[in-house]
Amino acid sequence: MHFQIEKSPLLNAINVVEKAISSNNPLQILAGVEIDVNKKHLTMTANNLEIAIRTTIPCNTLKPGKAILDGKLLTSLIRKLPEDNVVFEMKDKQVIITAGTMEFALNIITEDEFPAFPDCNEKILALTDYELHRLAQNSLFAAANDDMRPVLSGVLLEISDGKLNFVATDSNRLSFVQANTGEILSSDLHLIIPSKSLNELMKCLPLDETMIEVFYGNNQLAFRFDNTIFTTRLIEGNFPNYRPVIHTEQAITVVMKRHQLLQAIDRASLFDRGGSQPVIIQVTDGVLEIGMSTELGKSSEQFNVEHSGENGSSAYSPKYILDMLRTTDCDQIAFKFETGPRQALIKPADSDDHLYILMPMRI
Amino acid sequence: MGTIMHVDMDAFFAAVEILDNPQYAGKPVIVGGHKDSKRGVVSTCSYEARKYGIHSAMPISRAVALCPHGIFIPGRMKRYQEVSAQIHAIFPKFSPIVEPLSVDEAFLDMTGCEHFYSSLEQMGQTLKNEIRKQTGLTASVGIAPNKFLAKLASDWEKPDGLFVIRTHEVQEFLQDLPVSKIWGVGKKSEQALHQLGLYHIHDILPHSEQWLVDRLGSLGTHIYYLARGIDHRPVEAEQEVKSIGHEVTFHDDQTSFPFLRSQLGQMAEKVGWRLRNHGLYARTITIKVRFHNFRTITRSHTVQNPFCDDDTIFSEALHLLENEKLEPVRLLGVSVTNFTTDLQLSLFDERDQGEKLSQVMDQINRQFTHGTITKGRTLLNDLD
Repeated sequence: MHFQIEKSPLLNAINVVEKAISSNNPLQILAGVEIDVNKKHLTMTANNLEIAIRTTIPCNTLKPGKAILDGKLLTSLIRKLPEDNVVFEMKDKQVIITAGTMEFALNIITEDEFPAFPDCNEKILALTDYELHRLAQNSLFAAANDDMRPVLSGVLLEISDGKLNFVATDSNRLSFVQANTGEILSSDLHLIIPSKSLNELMKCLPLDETMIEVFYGNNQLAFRFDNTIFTTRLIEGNFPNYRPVIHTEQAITVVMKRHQLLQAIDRASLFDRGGSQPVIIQVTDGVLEIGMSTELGKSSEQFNVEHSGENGSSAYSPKYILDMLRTTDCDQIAFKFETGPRQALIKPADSDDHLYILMPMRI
Repeated sequence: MGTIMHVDMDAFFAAVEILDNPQYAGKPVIVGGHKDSKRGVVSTCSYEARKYGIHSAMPISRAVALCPHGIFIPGRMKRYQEVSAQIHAIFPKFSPIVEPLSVDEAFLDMTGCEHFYSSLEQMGQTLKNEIRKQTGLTASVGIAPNKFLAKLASDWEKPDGLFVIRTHEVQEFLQDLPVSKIWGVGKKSEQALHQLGLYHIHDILPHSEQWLVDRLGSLGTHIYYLARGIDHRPVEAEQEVKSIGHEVTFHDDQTSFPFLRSQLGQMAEKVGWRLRNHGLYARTITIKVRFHNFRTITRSHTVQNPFCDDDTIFSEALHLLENEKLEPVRLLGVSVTNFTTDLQLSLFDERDQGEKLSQVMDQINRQFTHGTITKGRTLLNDLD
């Protein structure tokens, strides 16, 4: 193996592949990155058995070949190289990397074959990187962050009635996001993507109106964009039947500026040091009152809001409301709720493509 | 010799319903479920309902069969707790040492307070009057030299009762009572006593403590003293609970994971039982492991959702134990902390299921003997 390449495309490629380098698996090969050079291209692959990423970029090949190097070392080294030409050359059991007057000899960590790259054949979707990012970002935060209930620790990718939805819930709150654009090529489908994978995928997206093609097969999902394939294992099991918990009609509707509500609840939650106290939300004839009372003291704020329906009050975990308000980027939000043990709905005031359902706290 | 007062509200939940709905007065009121409830059980019923043979823990469907025209009410726990708080607020005016037993029951240590009253009867009457004035409800009061006798006394003239047992009257009061009246004697122990020919307390008196211990084990000591009206348990004023836990030291160091798992199962049930009896929800679970060489570790996990069911305690504790590299274990403990009474409700009703299951098991264990019903996972002691 012998090739020459510019630092900048090399860095972009390793920054993507790095997301699949294992940091804690005892199998040493999973901490590696495979470098495979053919006549015109360099292909880099990492695979931690949860996520596998492969990316291909052009290079000047002098001699084809392949080698597995320590992923962490290779990534850090490329980041710290000056903007310059970089040459890779395999000699004996080392790969020599030279840039200007610098020379580094990296030991090949194994001669074994890299784990097979997951194979997904059935194309199910095509959508832009922006839309995928929006779906992931607005759902991910609501997934359970413990591993006691595996199906809730992921995000449901649902194709149903010709619509694409991302849904996540930790069983106390639920976020439902519907795609507005994109091409759906599959019939009804329910796949649960591990939260960690989706999170890493979001970081890899170019966010420049690139089309992402999504493939499914062998309990794996593959996202293909530019010259990269990102695959993830799926979570087995059944996502709870969430449709019945989505109520869009509530007795009280309040419309107000997202920032205003966010900041008020943020201030109230200063009084909740243990993270378990409820914030009380009360609406009386167009005046919204937000308050919290704990052993540290109490907070109270009032606003004039657009109010329709009854007067009433209820109590919620401030964290759950803040999670939603911090993630969405709309200007005006609608907050619909009822007095009593019934779920509330928070959504952008002018659209229904993101519905956030949360249960109150019993006080 | 002390003076202990036991206060027990009469048919409490039913009485609160009658208080709030005067038209129910004099009618059979059954709290616990709707008339068409298939699975509810009677939680409390008015004395009129008891005349039909209805009693607590009976299935609602059976109660409906016995008394079709009865007033069946699902129950309003929040309201009962409100009245309970009113009642419990009265006790500290009478004694600094109060041990609340449940929503409608408490022991008061009145030792040293006797001279404030012209007689023990007047002491009891004063408390009954105060409860009636503040809440409109009747209570039964028993006054005796210790907790065991005070509880028997409050039950003696129920409802609206007041009964005093003085030291010199104890023996006479006790001797003809059936053995089932002895505190701690449930259905199983009762049978064991009957097999020995012990039907009444006076049947126990001729036997030595050793004779009883030889035949009944530690229960022997217990009934030897109680049959003589001797009970040294103090009235324990409730302190704010910060942690509830259990631990066991093993006779031999243990290496079997299935055994340790079953021990966690047993401890989870004990901790869960106490947690629910305090009406609390916890958010943090901690295990303590002491190894053969006395190295001791504690590991904790805090969850988002407050819990009070055995399953959550067990699975979280097991998870913590599984993450440890195990050497032979000398001591194992489970505790829960970080209590809250505010409760995040669930969208899918899944947590409620665990909680309901634990509550049903509690009810069964309360009615029969402790351990009547348990989870299979607690019984794997012999597996290796």
